[in-house]
Amino acid sequence: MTEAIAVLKESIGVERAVGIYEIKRAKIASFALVIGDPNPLWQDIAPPSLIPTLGFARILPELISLFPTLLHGSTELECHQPVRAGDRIKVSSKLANIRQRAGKDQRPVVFLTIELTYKNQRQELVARCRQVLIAQ
Amino acid sequence: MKHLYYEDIAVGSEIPPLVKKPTTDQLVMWGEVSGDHNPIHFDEGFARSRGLPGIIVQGQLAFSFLGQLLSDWTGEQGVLNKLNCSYKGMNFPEETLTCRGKVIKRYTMADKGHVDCSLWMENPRGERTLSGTATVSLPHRE
Repeated sequence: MTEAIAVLKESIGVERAVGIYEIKRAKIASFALVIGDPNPLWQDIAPPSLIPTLGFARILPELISLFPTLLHGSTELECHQPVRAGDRIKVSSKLANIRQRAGKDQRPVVFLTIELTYKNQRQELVARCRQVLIAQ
Repeated sequence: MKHLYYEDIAVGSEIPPLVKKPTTDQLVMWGEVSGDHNPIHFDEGFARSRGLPGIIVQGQLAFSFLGQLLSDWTGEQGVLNKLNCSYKGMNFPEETLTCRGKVIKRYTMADKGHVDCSLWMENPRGERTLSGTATVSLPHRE
C-alpha cells in the first residue's frame, strides 16, 4: 500500500487525457433505462448523472489493481451546460490529492481526490467533477 | 410535462420522494453502461472476501437516483447546476431506497431563480446512506 501511494503521489496535479466519448441517442436511452428513469427529457439531453460515468472505466482499473478495497467516498458534479445527443465529450483527469489516516483497527485508509473536466466538441466546458475514492 | 417555477418554491418545502429498489440485474447493467466493473457490485464471494457484508450498490447508481429525484421535481425547464453527495453507508440490492430532499435556500442570480436543496437517501432501517446538496435553476413565472 505504501508503494502504491508513492507511485500515485508522483502523479498529483498532472492532467491527463482520459478519452473522447460520443454521446449517442442510444447511449442516453440505455442509461435512462438502467436507472429506471422514464423522463421524456432524456432523448436529446443526457441525464446529468451520465457525465461522471464518462471515462470512469479508464480510471478505475489502475486504482483497483493498486488497492485491495476501493469504495466511493463522494461525488461532486458541477454542470455548465447540458450534454446533448451528438456531442463528443473530451474527458481529462488529474489526481488532486492523497490523504492517509488510520482507520478502524489502525488499518491505513487512503482518500484519493480525482478531478475531472468535460469539454464538448466546441471546446466549451460542460462539466467538472470531483470524485473521492476511499482505498483500504 | 409539468413546470415548476421559482415562485412555487418555499424554503423548507419537501421534494416529492422517489422510491427505488435496485435489483442485482440492474447492478450488472449499470456496470455495463457506467464502466464501473468493480466486482464488489456483482460478485458476492469477492465482496465478502473484501470484508463487505455482500454485493453493494454502485455509488454512482445511487447518485443517479438523486439526479432523478431532482429532474422529476423540477420538470422540463429546471436545470441542474450542482449535485454533490457523500456515500455515508452501503446500499444493498433488493432493498427499498427512498430519495428525499428539502429546499434550504432560494435566490435570484443573473436573472435566474436558484434553489439550494439538501438531499439524502434512506434505507429500510431509516439510515441515511447518502447525503448531499444540489443547486437547480428554475424559470420565473411570466
